Amino acid sequence: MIKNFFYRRADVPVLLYAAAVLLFSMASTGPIFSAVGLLCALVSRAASSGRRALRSSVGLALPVILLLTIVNPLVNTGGLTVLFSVFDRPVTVEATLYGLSAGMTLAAVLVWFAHFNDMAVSEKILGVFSGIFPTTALAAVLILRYIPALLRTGEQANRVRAALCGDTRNKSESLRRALRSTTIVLEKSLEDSAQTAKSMNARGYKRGMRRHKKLPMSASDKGITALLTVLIACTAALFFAAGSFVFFPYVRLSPWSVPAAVGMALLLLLPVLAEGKERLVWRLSK
Amino acid sequence: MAFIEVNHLSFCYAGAEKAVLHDLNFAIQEGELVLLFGASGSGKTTLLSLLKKEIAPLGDRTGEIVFHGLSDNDFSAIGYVAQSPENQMVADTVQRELAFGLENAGFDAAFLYRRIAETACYFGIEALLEKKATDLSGGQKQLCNLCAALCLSPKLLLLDEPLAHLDPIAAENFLSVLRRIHRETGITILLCEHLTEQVLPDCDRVLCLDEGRLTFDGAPQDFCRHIFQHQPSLGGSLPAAAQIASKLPGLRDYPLTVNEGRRFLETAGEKWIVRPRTVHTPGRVLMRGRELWFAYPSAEKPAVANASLTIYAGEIHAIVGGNGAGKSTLLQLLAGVLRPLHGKVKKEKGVRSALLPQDCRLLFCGAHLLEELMELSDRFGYTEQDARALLGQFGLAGYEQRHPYDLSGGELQKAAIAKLLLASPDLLLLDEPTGGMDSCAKAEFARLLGQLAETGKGIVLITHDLTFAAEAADTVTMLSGGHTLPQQNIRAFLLENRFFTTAEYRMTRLLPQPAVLAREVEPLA
Repeated sequence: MIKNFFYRRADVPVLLYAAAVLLFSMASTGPIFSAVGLLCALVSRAASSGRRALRSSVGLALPVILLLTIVNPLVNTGGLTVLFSVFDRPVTVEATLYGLSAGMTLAAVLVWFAHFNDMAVSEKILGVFSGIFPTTALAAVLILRYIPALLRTGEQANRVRAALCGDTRNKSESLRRALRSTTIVLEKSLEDSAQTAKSMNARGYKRGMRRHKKLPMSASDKGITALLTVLIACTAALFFAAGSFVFFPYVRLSPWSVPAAVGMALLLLLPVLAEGKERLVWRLSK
Repeated sequence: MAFIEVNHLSFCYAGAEKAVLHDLNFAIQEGELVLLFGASGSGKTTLLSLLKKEIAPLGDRTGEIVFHGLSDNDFSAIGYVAQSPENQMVADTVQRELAFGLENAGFDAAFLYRRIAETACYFGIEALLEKKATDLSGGQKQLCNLCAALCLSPKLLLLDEPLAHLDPIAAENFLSVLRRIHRETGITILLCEHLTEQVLPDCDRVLCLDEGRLTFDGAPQDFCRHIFQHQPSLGGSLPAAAQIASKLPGLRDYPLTVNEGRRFLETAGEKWIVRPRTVHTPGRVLMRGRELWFAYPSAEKPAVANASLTIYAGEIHAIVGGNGAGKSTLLQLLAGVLRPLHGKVKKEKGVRSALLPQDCRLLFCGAHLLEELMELSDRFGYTEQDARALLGQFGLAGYEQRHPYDLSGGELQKAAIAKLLLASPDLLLLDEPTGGMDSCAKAEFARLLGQLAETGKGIVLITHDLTFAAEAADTVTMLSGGHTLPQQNIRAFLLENRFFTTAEYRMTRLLPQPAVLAREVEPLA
């Protein structure tokens, strides 16, 4: 259901939402904002792609968080509240909290990227591009099409050589084979691209792509864009009011943090909430 | 008034000495389905390309091509579909592929969506719209290319050997779509093909090119007569029914389909005998595959499940099966390139195998031919003289300094096999070697394989051309959903099947003397 937001809405609200999500996630200082960002990311992932995707996202997030939480206090010795000492270096609560916060921020950004990839936000970006830079957009599409094809051809060339000469452990032999496969792939794709060019010419590609009129935004698209703009403005204001989270020398929490976190959660979960009502009705009707 | 008139058309490529087309004169009426027939290198592709301004090659052109009722500036009036399903595609998704031509024509987004939706709905490819191009099968890709050309609603459709790289089911699917649009929209179609079994019954006219000259222009019936009288070497390209009927007396009209062939045979009476070809006797065991299982990492079910087969020296072993049955995977397991998850490939001591991929260019790095062949001379211990001798044997004697890509399809195939043979393998594994070959090249290739088998080499080949398998192979293993049926003699296999067999057998099945190949039929004196 959440897919409706990304698939059906026009380019502008989707890209505005994606940009806002990434900006706020990356600007999150402090464990509260990072935690909110990460939780919203995981909820969105689960709501759109199911339990399997959620599991793989959690599997991606946990190691990142753990790594940063453990490494940061060992590297950074600021802060006043000492937990214990390792190799004569104090491990402080503040440094651990900083590591935890940074870990959650990074994990959140990774999960958001995975989510946007599944929701084909790249298509929207390309859509915007083809209105402004059509030839660049075409080049991007061609690259997207060629990368898996070229990799597969390289793999096949490797297999053919391995079938004749056997597998190799020798480093220089492997390198030579890789270079050979690359040459084969390049030659073959140069030759094949002549056919692609012929097919493109046959369908009217002469001097380049022409810009064409895009679909106009519907009333609800405009409404969502307006709502997004308001939410972004409010949350940004609250963020400013909350200020930067202070870790060192000791942790201090601003009273504006809570409303700012709530605003951020509302913004990040907008697609889930927008489509949530339909989902609930559908579930209940089953 | 004709739709297209070609008057005294001759063409010579820029920089070439010989002209490719000589004084062609013909006319095509609106709404006709015309077959352009000819052996490889006869100039079919050149003629087709000249008909469309945007893809016309550079060169010296004399004569004229006149279109009545087609505007000169409109690229969308003539659609073009080429041979390779993969190389024609520009975009990464099917939707974008269909939109490509429409975007070039300058239509806005609303019209674009409408046209794509309408075309997808009519051809039943709505489910494919969101898919990535890499996830499609060859047949689906070619269908997508056809729809992309048709999205622009052309009045004339040019098709340059569109079935060459498709398996029979995908080819029949493609042709049925073509027949449908011809019947339901009256579009003019010029189809270039050299295998006519599935195409000839539906054509209105046939144009025959031989070395750039138009040797025939008329109805399919008369075309068969012309081929058997004047160009009998191309007889193998004609439908099986016509081939068998041509050997028997009492022929007035050539049957073009299996159905017509059956009825003709009933009236012809028992005036023939069947002489099957001799098979090679197998030598020692080269390789045994026992209960092989293999699944690709991200697949839902195994590609090969419980497959077993035995390969003998001096024998040609065919592997057949539907699309996606796991044939290529099985071949790669035998080659040792993939490791089976379960089961074993037992290669006898000292047996060396070589794999020829579907696309021979994967073997060639880009140097000239002799250098390519000498690449592995240190490793396998052969000399330049051996390489030259082998090239001579394959009829490629003057080509040592040529770039491999300048060779024709059949010549490149032979050069690839030569390169593999220089490594002295005991077992050759060939993956669909006859894709895109015309009937003469296939016959020659079958002879070459026979010669190699007689020298004691084992050959395993994957093919979906059952007629070729009947010509060349001795044993066959059928793969279905990754499982193998027990291997058996090719003729016995084809005689036991009802549908998955040669057209010749489908025609002669109920008669006392069924034939599996046209050349088995010999008329009684």
